[in-house]
Amino acid sequence: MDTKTLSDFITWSKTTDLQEIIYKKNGIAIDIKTAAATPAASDFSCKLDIVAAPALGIYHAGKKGKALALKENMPVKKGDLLGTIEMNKTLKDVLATIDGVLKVISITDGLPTEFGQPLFFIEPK
Amino acid sequence: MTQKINKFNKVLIANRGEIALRIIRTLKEMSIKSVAIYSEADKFSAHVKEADEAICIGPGPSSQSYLNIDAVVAAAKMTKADAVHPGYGFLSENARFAQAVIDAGMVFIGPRPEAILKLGEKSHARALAISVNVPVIPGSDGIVEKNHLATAKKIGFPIMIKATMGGGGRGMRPAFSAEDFQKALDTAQGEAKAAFGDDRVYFERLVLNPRHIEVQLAADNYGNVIAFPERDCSMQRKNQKLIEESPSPFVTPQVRAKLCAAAARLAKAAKYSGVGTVEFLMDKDRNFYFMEVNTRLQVEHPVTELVSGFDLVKMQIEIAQGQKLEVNQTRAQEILCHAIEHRINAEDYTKNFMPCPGQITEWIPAGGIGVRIDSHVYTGYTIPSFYDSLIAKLIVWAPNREDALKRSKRALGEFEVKGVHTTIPFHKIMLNNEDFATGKMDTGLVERIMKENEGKK
Repeated sequence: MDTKTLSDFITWSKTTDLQEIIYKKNGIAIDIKTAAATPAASDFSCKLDIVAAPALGIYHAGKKGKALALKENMPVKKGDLLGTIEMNKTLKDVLATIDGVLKVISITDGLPTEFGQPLFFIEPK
Repeated sequence: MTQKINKFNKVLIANRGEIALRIIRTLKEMSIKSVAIYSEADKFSAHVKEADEAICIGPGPSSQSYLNIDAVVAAAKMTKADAVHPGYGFLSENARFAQAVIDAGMVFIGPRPEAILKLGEKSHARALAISVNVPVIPGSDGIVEKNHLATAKKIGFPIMIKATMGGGGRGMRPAFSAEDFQKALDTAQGEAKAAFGDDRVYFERLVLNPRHIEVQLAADNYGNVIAFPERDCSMQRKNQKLIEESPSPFVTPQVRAKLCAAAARLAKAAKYSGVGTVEFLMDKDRNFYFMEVNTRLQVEHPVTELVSGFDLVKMQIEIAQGQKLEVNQTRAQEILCHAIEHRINAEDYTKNFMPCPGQITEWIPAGGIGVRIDSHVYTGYTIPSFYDSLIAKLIVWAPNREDALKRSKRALGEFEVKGVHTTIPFHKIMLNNEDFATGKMDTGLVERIMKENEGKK
C-alpha cells in the first residue's frame, strides 16, 4: 500500500467512531486502532523530570524582552531559566528542576498555562 | 437616570465550595457561562465539575490560590470572563481586588471599591452610621492610639476591644473591668497583628446578652435601596454563626420597619450598590446598635431568599449588569414564610468543634417539602484541610416558626454523613433547647447549651 492511500485511510478512519479497522488485500494487512480503543493512562510515570508551571498565566520564552533559544535535546542545568509566566502583574520564573537534557518542550511562547501544567520534560543526566 | 445595561456572557467565580456552586447554579439559569477556579486541593470539588470551564490557579494554601489577586485576575483574563463574582470570604471584601478586576477591564460583582473601603474600615463605617442617625454603641469613636485605659474608663466597663481590620471574631476581646483590661488589649492586638498585619484597635461598650440581628439589603447603581426582613443570627459560638433564621421571633413589625429604614439610610449614605448586610446588636429592650456592614453576599443569604422569594445572586448580577431594581420596599419587606438555616460543618462538637477533614464515605442529604441543601460535597469526597469546615447548609422553610422547627428536626434526622464528624448532632441538641424553641436566644445561648450538654455526659 502506498503512503498516500494509507494516509487517506487513516484520515477517513478518524471521521468514524470505529475503534479498530483491519484491512486485508493481496497479502497486505493493516490493523488500525484509533485513540478511543487504547485509552492513555491518566497517571503515567516516566523517567523524564517534569517542569510544571509555577503559576497560571502567559508563558514567555524569555525574560525582560530577552528571548531564550530553547531547543529540544539541548543540555540544561538545575536552576537554568526556561522562561517566565506573566500572572497579571507578577512574573514568575520557570526553572529547570534537574541537570540533564531538555527532551520535550510542550509550551509555546505567548500561550496561556494553568498552574501545574507540564511545560518541559528533562531527561536526567 | 437611564439604565446602562451591560449583559455578561461569562462570569468567573473567585471562590470555592458550596458558594461557588450556588453562584454557578444561578448563572446557568441566567444563560451566562461560568468559570470555576480551583486550587490543587479542590480538583474534585463539585463546583469544578458543574462550571462550564475550570482553571487551576495554584496550590492548596489559600494565600497562594484563592487569596492571590494576580492569580485570580489572570485566570479571569485568560478565560475572557467579563465579570468576577467574589462569593463570600477570601477576596470578597478586598477593595484592592475589586479595583484590580476593574483595572483589568472587567466588572466586579459587588460594590465599588470606594464603598468597600468606606464600610469595611469599621471606624469609618461607624462614623458614617452616626452621620445618618443610625444608632451605634457608645465607644471610642475611632482608633485608640494612646491613653487606652483612660479611654476605656470613660466609655465605661464592660467594653469590647476590636481590631479595626477585624472580622470573624478575630482580634476581638472583652474587658469586664480595669483590672483585666491590659491582658485583653494585648491579646486583641496580638491576634490582629497576626491575622491582618494591623494591630490598631477601637473600643465599644459591651451590650450584655445581645441578639445578633442583621438586615439584608440590595442597592442598584441608580440610588435605589431595598431592605429585607431581618435575620436573627444569635445562635453563634465564638462569633461563628451556627443557626440563622428569618424573621426574628423577637422583632416586632414596628422595630422591623426601623431596622430596615436604618440599614437603607446607611447604604444610601455610602452610595452602596450590590447586595450587602448591615449587622446590629439588639438589647433586651429591642434597642438596636449598628455593628458593621458586610459588603458582600453572606453565607446565610438563602434564609432571606426563602422568606422573601427572590434569588439574591440573580439580583446581585442584574445590579452589576446595570439593571434597575424592580422590587420596591413594600414588597421587599413582605414575609412569605419562616426560614431557618443550619450550618453543617465537618467538626467534632464533643472536642470543642475541632475541624475534621477527611473522606466522606456516605452522604445522604435530607430532602422533601420545605428543605433546601446548598452543598458541594458527595459520597467519596475528601474535605481538604486548607479551608473552612462548612460542608453543607440545610435550610428549611414553613409557614411559621413552630412548623419550621419541626421540619428542621425531621430534616436533620434524615441527614446522614459517614466518614467524618459533623455538627448535625449538635444542631439536634440546639433544637431541643427550651430557650431556642421558644425564641429566647442571645449570643451566649450556644455556649450555655454546650455547658449544659457537658454536664449531661
